[in-house]
Amino acid sequence: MQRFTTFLRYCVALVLALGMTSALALANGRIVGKATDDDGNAPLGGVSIKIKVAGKVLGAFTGKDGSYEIRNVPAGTYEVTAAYIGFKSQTKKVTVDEGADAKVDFKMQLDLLLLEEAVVIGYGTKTRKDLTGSIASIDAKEIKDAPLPSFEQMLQGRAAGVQVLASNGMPGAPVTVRVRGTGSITASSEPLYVIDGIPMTTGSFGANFRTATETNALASLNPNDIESMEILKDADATAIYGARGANGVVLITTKRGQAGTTKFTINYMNGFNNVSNRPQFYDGQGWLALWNEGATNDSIIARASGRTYTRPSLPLNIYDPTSGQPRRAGQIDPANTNWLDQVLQTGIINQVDVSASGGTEKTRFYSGASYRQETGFQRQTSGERISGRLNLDHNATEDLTVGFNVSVSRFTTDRGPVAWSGGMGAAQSNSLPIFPVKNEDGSFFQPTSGNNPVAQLENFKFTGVETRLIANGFGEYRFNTLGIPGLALRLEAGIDKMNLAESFFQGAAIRGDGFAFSEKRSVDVLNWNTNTTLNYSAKIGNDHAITALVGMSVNRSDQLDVGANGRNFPNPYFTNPNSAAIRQGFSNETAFSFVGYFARVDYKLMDRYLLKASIRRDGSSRFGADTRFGVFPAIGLGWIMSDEDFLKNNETVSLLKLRASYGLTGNAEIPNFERFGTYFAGADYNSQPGIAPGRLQNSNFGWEQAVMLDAGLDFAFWQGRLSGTLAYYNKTTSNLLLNVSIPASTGFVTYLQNVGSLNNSGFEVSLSSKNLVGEFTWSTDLNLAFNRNNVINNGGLPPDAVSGPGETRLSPGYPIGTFFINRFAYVQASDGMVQVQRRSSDNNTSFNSNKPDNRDNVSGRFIDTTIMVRGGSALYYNLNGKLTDVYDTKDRQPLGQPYPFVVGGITNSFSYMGFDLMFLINFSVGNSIYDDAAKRQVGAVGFRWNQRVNETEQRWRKQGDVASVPRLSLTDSRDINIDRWIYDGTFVRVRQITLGYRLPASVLETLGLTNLRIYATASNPFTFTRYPGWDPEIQRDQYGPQGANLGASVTYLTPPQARGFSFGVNVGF
Amino acid sequence: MKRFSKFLVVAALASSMGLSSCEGVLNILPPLDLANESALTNTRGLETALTGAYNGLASGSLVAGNCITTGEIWSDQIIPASPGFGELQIVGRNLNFFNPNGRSIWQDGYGVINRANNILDALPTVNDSQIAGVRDAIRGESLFLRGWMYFELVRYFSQGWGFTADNSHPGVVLRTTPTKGTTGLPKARSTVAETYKQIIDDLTEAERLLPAINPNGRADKAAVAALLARVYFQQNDFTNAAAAANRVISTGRFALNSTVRMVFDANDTPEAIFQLRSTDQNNSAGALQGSFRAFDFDSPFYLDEAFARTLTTAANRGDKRIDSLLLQRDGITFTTKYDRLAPPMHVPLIRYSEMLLIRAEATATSAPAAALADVNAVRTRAGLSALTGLTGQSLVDAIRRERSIEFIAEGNRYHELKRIRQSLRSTPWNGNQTIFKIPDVEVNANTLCTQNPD
Repeated sequence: MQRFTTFLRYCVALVLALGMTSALALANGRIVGKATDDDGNAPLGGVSIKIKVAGKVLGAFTGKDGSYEIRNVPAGTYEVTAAYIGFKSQTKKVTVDEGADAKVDFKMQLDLLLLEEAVVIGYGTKTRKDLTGSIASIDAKEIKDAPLPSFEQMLQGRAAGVQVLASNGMPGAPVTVRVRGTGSITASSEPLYVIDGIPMTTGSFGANFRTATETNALASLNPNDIESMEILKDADATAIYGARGANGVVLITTKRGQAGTTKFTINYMNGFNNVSNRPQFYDGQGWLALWNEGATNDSIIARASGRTYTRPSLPLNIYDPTSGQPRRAGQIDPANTNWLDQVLQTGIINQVDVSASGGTEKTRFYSGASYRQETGFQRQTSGERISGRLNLDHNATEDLTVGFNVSVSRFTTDRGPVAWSGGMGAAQSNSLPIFPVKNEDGSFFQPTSGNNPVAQLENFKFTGVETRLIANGFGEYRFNTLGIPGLALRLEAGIDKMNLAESFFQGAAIRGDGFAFSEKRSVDVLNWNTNTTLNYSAKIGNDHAITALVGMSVNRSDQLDVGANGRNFPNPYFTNPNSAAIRQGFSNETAFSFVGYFARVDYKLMDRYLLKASIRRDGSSRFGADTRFGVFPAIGLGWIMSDEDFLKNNETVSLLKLRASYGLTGNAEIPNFERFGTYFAGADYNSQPGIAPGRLQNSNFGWEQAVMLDAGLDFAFWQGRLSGTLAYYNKTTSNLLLNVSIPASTGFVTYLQNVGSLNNSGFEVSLSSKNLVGEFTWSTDLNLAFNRNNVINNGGLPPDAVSGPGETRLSPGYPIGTFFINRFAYVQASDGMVQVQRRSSDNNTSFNSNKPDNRDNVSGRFIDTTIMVRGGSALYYNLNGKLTDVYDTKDRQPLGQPYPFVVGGITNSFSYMGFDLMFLINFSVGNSIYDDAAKRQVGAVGFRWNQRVNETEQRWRKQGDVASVPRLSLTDSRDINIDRWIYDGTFVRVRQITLGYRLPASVLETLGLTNLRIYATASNPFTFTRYPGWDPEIQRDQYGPQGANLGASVTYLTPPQARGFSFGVNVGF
Repeated sequence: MKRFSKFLVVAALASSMGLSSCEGVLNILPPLDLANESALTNTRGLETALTGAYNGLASGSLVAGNCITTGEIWSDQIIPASPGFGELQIVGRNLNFFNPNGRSIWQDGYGVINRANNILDALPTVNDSQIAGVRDAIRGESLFLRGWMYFELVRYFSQGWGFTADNSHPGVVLRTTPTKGTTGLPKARSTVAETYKQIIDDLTEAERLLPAINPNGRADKAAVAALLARVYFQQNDFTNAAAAANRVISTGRFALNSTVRMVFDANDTPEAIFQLRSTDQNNSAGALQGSFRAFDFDSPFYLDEAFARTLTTAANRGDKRIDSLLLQRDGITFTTKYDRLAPPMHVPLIRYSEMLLIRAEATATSAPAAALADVNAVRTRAGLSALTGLTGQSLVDAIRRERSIEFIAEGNRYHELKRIRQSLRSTPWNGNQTIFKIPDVEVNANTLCTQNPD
């Protein structure tokens, strides 16, 4: 470190010397002028104007009025270059006389092609035109008006091949991002997030099992600080991230200051939201009618077969005061509680952001602060985020730039129970409409079976406070003065420190007297990273351009959890675990590290032939002794056809580029210590500490690896009026970690091994059209992604060995997470004889085989028989495709399509005068949803749940009814997994409509402002779908990566997305 | 140029600083677990690993739980109140290889065996200053635990001793070395003869090595001899069984408690030859207390009604084992043996009365008077009158009758019926449905392991 500061001092001295020489110049002139838009009407501020004087660059930025001034220009002739993001660069010649002013004005023309735009890539930037890989870029401007809580959600529908699933609309809810499909089975398939060069801590660290809601570590970051996001999709782009690149990489660049007057922005947004797509449930009378119909059906069946029938009692502990018996249906006036109304509310969002940026040529800054407060659409849920950021850049010398970024944030959530845990999950299931909220004495009603979600919410408090500090600094030294132009050394180091403090309290009222429970828990994660890179670029002759990079990166993350809980409190005043009669403490810690060495060469021949090669050697603390380091190479080729002579001056074709890449990347999101054979502590006996073997050593334990081929065509016509990309990719992921069986007589049952493989291949289309340009503009962006997922090798394990939520399994030849369930045939219309097939052995009791249960379905074990089937009964198809009346889990088969045929988004933007209008439509076509709760919510009143009206009304009621839902029954087990609960998950959703108005420049000027815009946004206003449940855009709560990988299209009382409306103001001055 | 070279030096130094320190970053040891290589390198490591092996023995899935309840419901004295998937298969004689009861005995039994094998393997390599005084004991206890586990396994997964004349029918997979790698793991089953030989070898060696008294609920000479008596007795090897029982009895350390309740109401009684100790933190009796809990009349297991009726006949009048260890309510009979929750109950797995009854039956032919004295000691303590003048089969029958009442809900009956070749309810003692299938967790990955026939 001391050596580095010496180096810095040396550099500073050098700068001072240079500064003095320049001060000696005498009697110089000026270059002045003005930059305007194409029409010469509106002045353009912030345009960079530069000239070169004796090898050094002099420059200035235009001010608000578009004017600029470059002082101290010695007499001579210069090339003046004007550049501004989104506009074509211009160069003009001018001669400056000694001591005089030369005037140069620029009319800037919009650059629709943006080919010279810099794109952030791993450890560097590159102009878009020279890319050989697949990178999607999202500009901050595109996403700013969405009232979304976290930045990943803003990617939704914006980039081809980037599928974003917000698991629900609750504050702080997790977001699943899949770049080109799910690439793992048991390990994470989430991309690597890198903010300003530093890998971030991501994931869910909360005690999720308490509420069926997970958390999102990235939700504490303020989206308004983001300048751009780049999603690296193919091996060409991600191999530089080696063992962590296989799931794609999301590079986030935060805003930086630019020299010039200090710019202030203030944004305020206010909105509200509600649940979307709420289905209808029965009221008290309606539910009782179903109950009675079920009882009547049962008694008819019982009588027909000569059995006596006893009517089950209602799950209602209201006792008749005279008889002391529970009151029966018909004897009581049922309460008529709409439980959903009781637990839902209108959520409110308030957000204010302020930022200031600016500085001098030497020192630039960006500072931003943000406050966001929201309440969710369920009572007892809220989120609050406070964040601040300061980014500094300083040109210490002409050759040395140093910078520092720091961001602090605090994100507080109040998480209520949902789904199976209660809240609105209970309100639509086992909280029956016949239950009252309160008893006559004012206490909460507690049903004998079922739930009172209002009482639960009143007695439930679960808060999380995530505090986060992200800081990094860098120094970049360019060797210009030392005589090696094009060579630069960059050192950067950063930390990401996160603390999540959770506090949980559940009052005695819902756990029974003396069973109040409290838990406090703190999770600390410290993640540090250093990058050292040496970059060289040079042009050799006219035909050869080369850029080369070598570097290394070190990263380590340490996590420590400590907590305590307590049970049995003296009274409700005491809620801290320390006050409890029974107390317990717990702790956990883990860590991982990476060391990577990498190199990259970009070569461009004759401005049109591109070659890129990169390689990374990555080691990790997670990898076994024999697989300490992995090598991840990639190669990319590009051909800019439009720059060939035969197309160069073509009026129509502005860009035609063919590119292809092939490479190897890894997924190292694998367990931290699985490589070790270990003894665990806690095998105690007689209060003596004991240890026991816990795991076998695996020296070959390592990363999962992806081999990826990518081919693309980039095109632009008519000067960029129409542009786009077509891309094909094929990605085979192998060495997937699976728990492989070993003989239990060894003392171990399974062993995590790199054995599985799966494939994702697909096609992506991005189209961008400037339909109208000029005063009235209209542009359309379309993206489509077709991905196929296919499990190749599941390690030879039976399907049940790898399971996900909602009966999802791993079956070779099918997409990961295909539903493994029985086939439903039809509902018998009238009593009649039906030929069915049954298993011949042991009266159809399941499991009487010494083989796995899916392998005994050979001929000879089935018998065909004709039996009496009552009207309204359900019939199924067995594995042989024959009708059967017996639901047997041996007849399960892979069914349904968990992934869509195509997903995409269309954005239309219009602007006229000061008005702007944008709408974003997302769609997902061809996927199925397995609704795991439907079996209990559709025609299953015997389960003592409320029922969905739209489907339950289609039930069988009387002989001859051709119905899709079997007769109601209080006794038949309907808790079965059949393909009736696979629904078409296709949807088209208008995700966002924003209408804004910006005051004209003349008015702004009198107000002393640079910008004043008001806008209104509707979120998820319309959804078109055939799915009869809540929301087709859904992901069930799932614990850990395996659940996320398999449960892509599964729901179980999962809360829907929010639908809302917001308005806001942007002010700039 | 001079500046440049100076800079290069600085840059080289800066980057080499980074390079040299970084590879060390990769060495992170698991903070909560101990790497195998360093676990058993000293005496303390071996001793804690041995504690870990006892922890396995004391888990509810083995001898202090599942091994007892499973055998009881397979035979004719106990039935499950609301049988689960595994119990339904046992009661319904409809077993498959998914049976969770069988799986847990197999999996956890072999878990203890592997724990013992690891200790036995590492023991010769430890030569620190503490090892000298305890080396024999550690080896003896490890062999005792391994032998016992094979004894449990062979009785639940193989047909009984004598099923074939030379006992060449399949026993269990014998593993006497620790599992260290993941290759070459499939192994065939040994025969029952070989399995019993392994058990007897382990226990004989353990008895030789162990001290006369080993406190803290650990095996000593007498405990191993008592277990050996059980093993020989299961083979109907009366000579060896009687000799082993004699070795226990002749220590003079053990005696019948004054009351039958005292065995279960007090810890560390003279009757307990081997007991699993319990503390507030490590309750070895938890599984049995959960299975046979008469105190809240919600016991998952209670006495078979027909069997309970036989206990009310005149011959049993005044039997304190019935009057003070059984409880009737609403026509259901519970055992109260495991009802004591505080202070933590030590589980008396082998007790003195068993030694008396083993010796009695083993010597009934050769020394009927002594045998009668032994059985009468048990009877008298139970408040019954002494038997007189019995010899031959009627003496044997009388002794077996005492066993059947003395050890209700102690996991004796199933093994007894198979030993004396009587039907388990209506299933012949050697029927296919009297033993577990080898569990899925074994045969799915052990290609050499044969399955028991359906």
